[in-house]
This record gives sequence, C-alpha cells and structure tokens, in this order.
Amino acid sequence: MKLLALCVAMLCLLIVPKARAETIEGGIVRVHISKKEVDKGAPWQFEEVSQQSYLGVIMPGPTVLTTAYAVADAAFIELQRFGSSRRAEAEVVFVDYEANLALLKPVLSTALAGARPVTLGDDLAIDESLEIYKMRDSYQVSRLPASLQDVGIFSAVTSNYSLASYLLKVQQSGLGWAEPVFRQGKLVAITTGQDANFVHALPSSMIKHFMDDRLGGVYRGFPSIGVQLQPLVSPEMRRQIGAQNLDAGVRVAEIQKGSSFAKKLLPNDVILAIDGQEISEHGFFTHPKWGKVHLKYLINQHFGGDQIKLKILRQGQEMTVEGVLERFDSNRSPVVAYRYGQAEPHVIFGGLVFQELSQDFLKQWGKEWKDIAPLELLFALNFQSKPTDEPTEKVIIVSRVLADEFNRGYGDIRFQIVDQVNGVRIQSLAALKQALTAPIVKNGKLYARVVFRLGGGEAILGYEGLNTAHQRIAKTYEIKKPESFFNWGEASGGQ
Amino acid sequence: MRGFWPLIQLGWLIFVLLEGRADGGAFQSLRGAVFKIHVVSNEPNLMDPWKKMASQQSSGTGFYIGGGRILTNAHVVANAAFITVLRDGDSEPRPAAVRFIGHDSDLAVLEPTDPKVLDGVPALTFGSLPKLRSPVSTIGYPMGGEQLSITDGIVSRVSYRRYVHHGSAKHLLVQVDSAINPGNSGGPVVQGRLVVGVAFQSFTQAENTGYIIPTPVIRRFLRDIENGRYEGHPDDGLTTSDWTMLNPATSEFHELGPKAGGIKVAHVAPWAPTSGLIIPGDILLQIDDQAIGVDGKVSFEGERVDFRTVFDLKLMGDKAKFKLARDGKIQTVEVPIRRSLRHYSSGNIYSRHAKYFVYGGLVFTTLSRSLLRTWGEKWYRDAPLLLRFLDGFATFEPDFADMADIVVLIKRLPDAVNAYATGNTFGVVTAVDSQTIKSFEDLVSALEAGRGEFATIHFFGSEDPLVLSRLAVKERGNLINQKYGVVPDRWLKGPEDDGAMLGMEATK
Repeated sequence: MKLLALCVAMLCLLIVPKARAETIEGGIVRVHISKKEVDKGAPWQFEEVSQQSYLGVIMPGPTVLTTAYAVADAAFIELQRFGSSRRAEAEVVFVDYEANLALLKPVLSTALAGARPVTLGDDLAIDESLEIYKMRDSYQVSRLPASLQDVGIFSAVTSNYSLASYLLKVQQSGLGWAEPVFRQGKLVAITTGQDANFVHALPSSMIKHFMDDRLGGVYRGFPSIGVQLQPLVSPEMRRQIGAQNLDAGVRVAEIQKGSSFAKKLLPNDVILAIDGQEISEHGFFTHPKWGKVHLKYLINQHFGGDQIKLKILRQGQEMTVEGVLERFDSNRSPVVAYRYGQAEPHVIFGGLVFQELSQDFLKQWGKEWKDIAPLELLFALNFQSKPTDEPTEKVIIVSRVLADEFNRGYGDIRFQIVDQVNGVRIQSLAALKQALTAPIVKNGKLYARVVFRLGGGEAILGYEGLNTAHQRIAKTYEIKKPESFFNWGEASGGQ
Repeated sequence: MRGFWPLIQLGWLIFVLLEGRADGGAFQSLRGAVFKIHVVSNEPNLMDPWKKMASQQSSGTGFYIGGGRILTNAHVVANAAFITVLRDGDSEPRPAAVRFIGHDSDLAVLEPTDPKVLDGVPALTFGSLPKLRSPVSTIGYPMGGEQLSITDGIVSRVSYRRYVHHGSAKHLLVQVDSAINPGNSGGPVVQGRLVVGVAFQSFTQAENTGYIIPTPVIRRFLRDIENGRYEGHPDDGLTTSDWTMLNPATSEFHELGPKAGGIKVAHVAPWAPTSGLIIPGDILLQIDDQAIGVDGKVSFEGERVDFRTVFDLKLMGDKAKFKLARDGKIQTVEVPIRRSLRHYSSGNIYSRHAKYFVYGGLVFTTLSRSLLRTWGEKWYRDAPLLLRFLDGFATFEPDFADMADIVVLIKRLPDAVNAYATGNTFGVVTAVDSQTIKSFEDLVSALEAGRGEFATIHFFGSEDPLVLSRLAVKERGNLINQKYGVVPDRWLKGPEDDGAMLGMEATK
C-alpha cells in the first residue's frame, strides 16, 4: 500500500508540473508587430515597414500585456496563441511609455475565448530561481532557467523614467523581447532587454502598479519627485550644510522647475527618510527582500497625485515636508524624449524644415548617436534640457533645407538651432507659426527673418511667391501632406 | 569642427625641381643652401602636466635665407631640447637654436650656435605665389635614405586652409601633386632658382597631395620678426554665412542689387579686432578695395581665395579696410589690426608645460586641442562632450565667450584631503565659492586667497560641487605634491614667456 501510495505520489509529481506548464503556455501569446516609424529626417514620410515579434501574456478582460517598446510605432498588430497557427488582429488598449508596458486586445473579442489569464506573483527574493518563457515556434516553448541576481534602477527603454528592474542571470542570448518570467506558475516579471551580463525584467510589483492603475478609472501613472539628489558622503560637504552629526541622508542638489516640491525643499536640504523609510548617504533604503535599493523605488511604488512625507534636515534642524508627487512625463523637457505612434510635428517654410529636437531625432545617427550626432544638438540635450516652468518650451531646429530657387543661398543649413523668428524668441512650433504670420515689413515688402543660435547667422526669405514655392517643393520632394507647409494664404490673406 | 579633414604633418623636407627643369647649375647652387635638421624633442605631458613625455628624435629640412638664419617648419623644431643642422655635403652636424617660431604659421628661424657654419653658404631668395599648373620642385631629406632628394610636381590648388601644426588656424596654402613625406618638412619648394614655398604637410586620405607654405605667408613671417619678436597672424573673429547673398529676397532686404555680391556676417567674436567695428548682419563687399564675392572669395594674385587671406596676411598695427552694407547704407570701416584679447582658441599647446595648478591633490589645467588629443586619434568623438563642444563653440556660447581660459579638472591625486572630492573629472570650473572663474589666474587666486573654511568648486552643468577643507589642504598640500612628484605645484606661464623656445630662457 505504502509503495503504491508512493508511486501515485511520484506520478502526481511528474504530472503536476507538466499540467502547470501547459496552463502557463495557454496564457502566452505571440505578438506580431508591423512597425511604421516616422522618418525623422523627412518627417512627412515613414521609414520602411519592419516586422518584429514579441511575446505577451493574457490578462483579465481578456487583454494581452506586453511592453510599450513592442507596440511603439505599430501600424498593425496580430496575436497568435500557443498551439495555434491562427493570427488575430489586435489593437492597443492602453500604453504607458514611461513604464514600458502596454495592454492589447483582439479586434474580435472571441479571438481569446477560453483563454485563462495568468496570475501575478509576488516580488522575488534575491537568488530565487525562475523560468523565462521563450517561444521557439507556435507549438514549442523553451523554458530557460534563470535566477534573480540583483535589483537596480534603470531608465525605461522607451522613456527617461527611472524604474526598478530585475537583473536576471541566464545562460542564453537573444532575450528581452517581452518574454514572460514565471515562478511556481505565477507571472513574476516581463523582460525588457538584455545587456552583456543580464536580462532586464520589470518586476511584478511594477506590472501590478500598471494593471491596478488601469482599474481605477483615471490612470494616474508613475510619479517623480522632481528633485535632483546627490549622495552625501563628503564630510566636508556635510559640515558645510550642517549635516555633520549624521551619516545618513542625501543632499538636495537641485529642484526642478514645476516640481510640487519647488517651494518646499531648498538646495542643500538633506532627505533623511521617505514614507518613514530611512535613506542612506548613498540614497538607498533597505527593502525586505532585495536589501539595499535606491530610494527611487519608493517613488515608483506611488501613483501620480499621491502625497508623500519626507523627513529632512535643513541647516541642522530636522523637519517634515509633505508634498504631492506628479506623474512623470519624459517629454516635459525642452528636448523631447520620444513621440511614438504620433506624427513628427514639423513646419516647412520656403523649404526650411522646422522640427522639435528630440532624442528620437538624434537616434538617426545610429547606435553611437550620443558620440557622433552634431555637437550643438548633443549639447542642447545634455546641458540645456532641464524642465522649465513652461512645459511647452521646446528646442526648435531647422533640420534641413529642401533646395529650391526660393531659398537659394541657404541650401547648406543643417541642424541649426532656432533662436528667433521675426523678432520673437521661438520655443515651440506653435510660436513659430505665430511668428511667421507676423512678417517683417521693409520698404513695403514682407520678409521672414530666422535667427540661429551658436554663430549660425540668419536666413531672410520673402513672402512673395511663398505659396508657389511650397507647391513646387511639394511636387519635387513628393510631400503629400499640405499641412506640412506653413499656410500663408489662409492665415493672413497674403499675396 | 565642420569640414574636418585629417592631415598629417611631415617632419621633413621635399625638394621638387620643375620649372625650367631646374637646370644642373641652378640645382647645384640651391643644394648648397639646404640643411638636414636633427631634433631631440621633449613634449609636455598633458595629463601629468608637471612632467614631460619621453624624448623623441626626428628630422626635417631647412634652408639658408641669409643673415645667419635657417628657415624651417615650426613643427620640425617644436618642443626641441637639442637641435643640430647638417649642410648638404658636410659631414659634421652643428648645434643650433630656435631664434623665432610661429606655431600658427608653422615657420621657424634657426641660428647655428657658431655663425661661422654659414660662411660661404649661398642664401636662397624668394619668388612669388606659384601659378596653377606650374611645375615646382621640392628639395629635402624625406625618409628612406640619407641623401638629398628632389621631387617634381605641379601646383594643383591655391586655397585658404587649416595648418595642422597649430590645430585650427587657417592660412593661405598651395597644394602640389607630388607626395610630401616625413623629413621633407621645412624644405624649400623652388621654381628655377627662386623659393616659392616651404613643404609642410600632406593629406593622408589621398595620394600625391602635398601642401606647401607659399611665399606670401613666408614673407609675412619674415616681416613680423623684423622688430625682434613674432606676434603672429591676426584673427578676424568673423563667422560668415556663405552664399546667402545669392538669395534675391535677402539682397533686396539689405537694399542691395542682385549683382552686389558680398558676404553676410553671422557672428563677430567679442575678443577679435573686428569687435564693435563690424556687426552681425553687415554685408562685407570689399576688403582693401578687392571685391568679395557671394562665396566669400576675393581675387588674390590671380587666384580666387577666401577674403580672410587678405586680413590674415596683415601685421599688428596694419589696417584692414572693409566696404560694407549696413542698414541699407554703404560705408567704409577701418579695422586696426591688433592681437585678440585672451580667449579660448582651439589649438595645440607648444609651451614647456600646459598651464596647471595642483590644489589638495586636484589637478587643474586649461582646455586645448592638445588636451583633447590625449583621447587619441578619434578625440573628436571620444573626448567628453562638453570639452569637444567648447573646443568648437565656446566663442558662440555666452557663458564661455568671455573666458580667457577654460579651466578643466583633469584628475585627483588621491589623499585623505580629497577622499570624498571625487567626481566632476573633466568638468569645467565655473566658480570657486561664490567667485566666478574666467581665467586660470582666477582659479588660483580664488582657491588660495579664499577665506572660507571650505573651498567649494563648482562645475558647469553639475549641481554637485567638490568641497575641500582649506586648512587640510594647507596642512597636507605639500605632502601630496611630494608623494606624487608634483614639482612645481603650478605652471602659469604661457608659450610667450615660459622659455619653450630653445635658447630663449624664460625671463619671468
């Protein structure tokens, strides 16, 4: 009897994991994406369409969770369930580029009929083992054993937002395409990328943040404190700011314009605790499972609009400061981070192509763009792109000139930062259009005067023949959208 | 930065004889004036600025120009510790010293220690700017043999381009279609019996291109040193927008006819002699009665070259006369030629040491092209972004245009004093305590004369200043310098006064 019982038990052990694996596989879908990126160098057209394949997991709804990176610039999305060769067209329900997460749903709701959503697990502990699911083809899944090595704070692939990320150790390359990560049958992470040593993955607490937020009606998103903090290890600095009696806390180096803490924190305040969690001199708190983790994780856990409480030290005096966290927006800076899935805003005036400077624009220079893109533009990105009081304030450039007799003599202008147009400082395309409607009048004739930064001089063009020139340029360069051009005739009845 | 072309220097001389086939008699009298120059040089170490690099041996060519003087390239004798000259046909190298050196024009005058060495040596005389397509011969001692070499070539281009030795200065130069090789540098380029140039650099990306310093630049150098010191070429400080006067609306806006020509001024450097006299938006129509085309070129000895050539060849105290259009009126503006005010000027350093100051183990120096080149051949992409940017754009960025020096923290010599003053390596210092730093002298005096308990050093674009205890620096500063062999703790002199020219000891 005993032997029989043991045999049955062993049989169960053999069967149960298999059954569980099948359940998991039933919750995984392939996500086929056709991507259509805007050609940043010619923003009225698109790059060649490319096809990419990612994974997603079935969530309640049913919906499919994948990364925002997967669906960025998607023109057409198809879902393919495990064990099926059918493809079902899908659409994006919601995407948060700051968090690098997206939810999809099939256009025909029956496409996921009978699918069982996966269950979210808890955050992992360091060294815990797990499995990364990778689909080899429609009928085969590879389960790659991995373990949690560390937790770090990294910029999301699709934004400038600093987010907690798992660093998984795994003996396999070619990962990071939104593969789901499971432990004991529960979803614990989604991969977002791979570097030389680790696979990066978003922890379940971050996924839960995103999913729960969706249920609340108004999406509040991931917040930031809007303050630049620096480690406070220098005893000289500590003495200078009156923090010599402590060996904890980080220094407030700068408070960003527009931050809700703008009037509550001062430079050289020392942040000692956030939500009651003590902060070390390097900016870490002690997480029960992960050990030392950067305080940004404490901010990650909040939602936009949440209140937080800071314990600070100001000139030797401890005090409490409360404030509201605001939803983080990578595009609040003068140099825009991304513009996935949207047309690239631009204005053509007499062949001069005006665009907003963006990180996406600079990525035209390829993998090494941070080294080889034009120095003026990199300088603007790195040193002149702090958020300002005016969120619409952007760096406007003339990216190129579509050569035409109208702009004769100006054909060499490339990547020049615009300072003024018709005497008005230009910090948005809207302001540019406005300034262009108010020409400079000289000897009864109308002129546009575009002044560039950094010794770039100026361009002076007339308004006479502008619309004809636009028609000619549209034809020559095959610009099919009339809205690409500054419309002089209607705006001011010129000519 | 725009239009950057890698050029290499030739450390030597080439001799090209073409015109009139430099008949035997002409060549025999020419070769008697040619010298092989041997140099042991000692370059400054930019990253450990109190040190020198390992000494190097190189050779080049020079030729006798009369008055006890041998003309060669500045780069042949730059940073020289010991120089000898060997006349063609002689057996004994003779010591020589640099009498004048122009790093901007890449020309230098040597004098043998014993003037008798030059007894009976025929002086070569100079001709004019060689014509396009005319034959020239380069004479010198290129690598690959001991004997004097002669190479024939044809003048293929006259242009206004960068002189590699300086790093950024542009002057008139002549391109020839014969190769100029290491060792040719400093050698005479002749037509018949007349020297029409000095061989000096080549273009690595193309074969059979050599560059020579033409006689207008050489004559200017020789006139410049007449008063006993070399003051150098003036810098116009003008940034212009080429071709824009081709645009009908633009010329109408400036109330000029469609055929008026001229070039529009985009920016005037605040440190330049033109500052305040020429303003952005001016249309330069003439320089010294020479019409400037919409391409910015003027007619110069039969060739079309950049109008700056005319300005560039002037001496301090001369005047440049511009005819220009401003606010619809044609006017004449005279620019007195003077040295530029001290400012960041992208170029290589040829002083004994780069300027430096070590304070509490923090090593500060000034930005230069030489410093950037420590990042290697591809410094223009590998060096820190801020430094690369400032090298090209400091003049245009209001925060930096008025800085006499751009002060850079290059390293920390670890010690208890600075154990926590880490970070900001290769940062640009903007202030010490509350004092703005606009020059290297500002830095030194702010650090040393400051009274506060702490010296707080602020860097551009960083909200994370370094803080040192002044008392601790005072107590341990000398110890740190001893430990790391920093002697002396500072070098504040520039190339004019630090004795970098061999034989001309510093007087300060």
